Amino acid sequence: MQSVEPPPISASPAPARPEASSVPPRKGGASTLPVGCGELGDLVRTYDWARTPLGPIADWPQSLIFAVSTLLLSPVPIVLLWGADGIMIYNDAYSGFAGGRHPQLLGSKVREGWPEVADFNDHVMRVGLAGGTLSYRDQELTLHRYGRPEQVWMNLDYSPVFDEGGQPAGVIAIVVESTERVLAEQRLRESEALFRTLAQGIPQLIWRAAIDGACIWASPQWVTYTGQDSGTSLGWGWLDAVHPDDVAGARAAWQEASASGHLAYEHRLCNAPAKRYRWFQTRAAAVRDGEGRIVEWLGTSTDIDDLRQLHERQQVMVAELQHRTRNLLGVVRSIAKQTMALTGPGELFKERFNDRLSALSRVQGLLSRSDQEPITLRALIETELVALDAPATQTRVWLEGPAVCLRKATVQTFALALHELATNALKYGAFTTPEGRLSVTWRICESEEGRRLLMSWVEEGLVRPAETGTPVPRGGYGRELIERALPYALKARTCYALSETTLQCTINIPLPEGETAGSLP
Amino acid sequence: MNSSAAALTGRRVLLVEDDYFIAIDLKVWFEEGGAEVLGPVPSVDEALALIADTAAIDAAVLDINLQDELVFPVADALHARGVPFLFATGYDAAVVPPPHGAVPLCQKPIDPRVVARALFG
Repeated sequence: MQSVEPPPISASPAPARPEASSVPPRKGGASTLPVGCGELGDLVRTYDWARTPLGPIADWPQSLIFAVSTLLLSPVPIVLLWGADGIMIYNDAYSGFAGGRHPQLLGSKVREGWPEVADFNDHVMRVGLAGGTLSYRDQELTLHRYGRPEQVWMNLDYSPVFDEGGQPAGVIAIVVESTERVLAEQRLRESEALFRTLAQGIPQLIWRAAIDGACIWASPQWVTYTGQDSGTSLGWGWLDAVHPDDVAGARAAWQEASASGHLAYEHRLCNAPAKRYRWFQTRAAAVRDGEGRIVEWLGTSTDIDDLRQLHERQQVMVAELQHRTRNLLGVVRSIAKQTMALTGPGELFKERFNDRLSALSRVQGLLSRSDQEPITLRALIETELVALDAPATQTRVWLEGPAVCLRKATVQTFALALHELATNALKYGAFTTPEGRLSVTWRICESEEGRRLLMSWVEEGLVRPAETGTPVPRGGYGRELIERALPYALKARTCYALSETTLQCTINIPLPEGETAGSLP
Repeated sequence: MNSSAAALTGRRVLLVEDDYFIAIDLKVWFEEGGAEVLGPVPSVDEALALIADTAAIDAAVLDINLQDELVFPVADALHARGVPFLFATGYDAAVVPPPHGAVPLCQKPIDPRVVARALFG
């Protein structure tokens, strides 16, 4: 075993001994061993001690009889190591400790009885027979009690036994095995380490609270998040980190919890580093005793701020979508009514109404993507021109202007106006003749009224009505949109001037901050 | 005109609606019923200005969302003057703040008869 002896927790040298007694050692059974004393009592009394250096019991000195009597009567595991060889005599309690080594151990030399710890016992014998004592707590040794090595922990106390002459003649050892307790403590330490790792590693704030909600312990995450040191959060100190508006709710939840055995509530908790409150969901499990009474709570507080924000955004989006959808139905109904007023029922109505619905549909598409892709004036114009599907429009169209992002609220009306302009260009204007050209230019100008967007839609090379012989039914719905709806809804100033060969339409609308985006093409 | 519309005769009705065509529809319908229309106006500022300049208002129809601004300041002003009004909107009742929680809500697209009945019984 060990080549270096472990230090005992206490050891004392041999006490100063009295001068050797002049009384010669008495030999032979002035006293005898007690009767009874269990299995070992019988074994010791009947053992053939004559085969050992001790000789028959009848020849044992009084000191040996006394020591053996004492250990046989004791419920504590005790073994006596007698003489220089440490001949072993022990009691029932020790036989339980010795396991498979019993009963061969009785009467054997300690070195041979426990060969795996011979060095350890040599040391014991040296110290004991010199009159010293040794004491070990939770001493770990590897024993082979059942034919295989096993880790064993013991509390060991050794003291010398003196013979009649006052000389140390043996060592008495109290051997209390503590393996079970040591292992249990080890498991507890491991389980505590696991809990600590878990409690300190997971993103939740973990805490323990008394039955009424007074904090007993808060994890380091709590300390880091709230900035409360571990002492401040104790008791009701944790409430200081809760948003003042949520304190009453927290107290109410705790009051209910002791009755229901459940704790669940949401509250805001101040984040010290960020100096802001975030929403948390707090849940706790009741820890109960053997009779089912709650003894404390083990709880977590989970940051749900992002989730709540997401949820709120989603609710806003759903409300927005409902608003947009229902509003759109109103717009569709009024478009139908206005179109019908101009075309009357029939094919022309169907055509115009479908065109306008398509334009509305395109702008809804742009709107639905507008959070990722802001709607620019250029995109709005191009969308309408592309939708015309007019041949050779590319070469006859000139678009020029800075990047301007439009507010969502203005896009729909603006798009409908552009649709009317583009449709008229296809049916009656620039795209009806080979010479026709369209230029759409825009710029931003700062004036006393603030920032405004000036857009100019110019069609040139139109055919005189007299030459084609068809009337120019321009105006109507499109013209009302430009001359009335845009001023009404967008505070626009507009001008719609049609000569025999030219159409000039200007739209001048306020452009609040945030409607320009210089980085866009 | 039916009986509910007949109740409109001579009433001065304020219309706050940001969509031009919906506003015009409502205006035409109220005028056909014999009401006098104040507005329509498309924004909170214009509505407040019109309320301040108008001595007699019998009722009002308010769209809630006016190009990204909410109509509630107008509702407050009308409430202060004791003018009955209703919300005509695409939103659910949930968006209406508590002081106006009891105000009638007409879902768009609006049926003018429902509006007239809600305002004048």
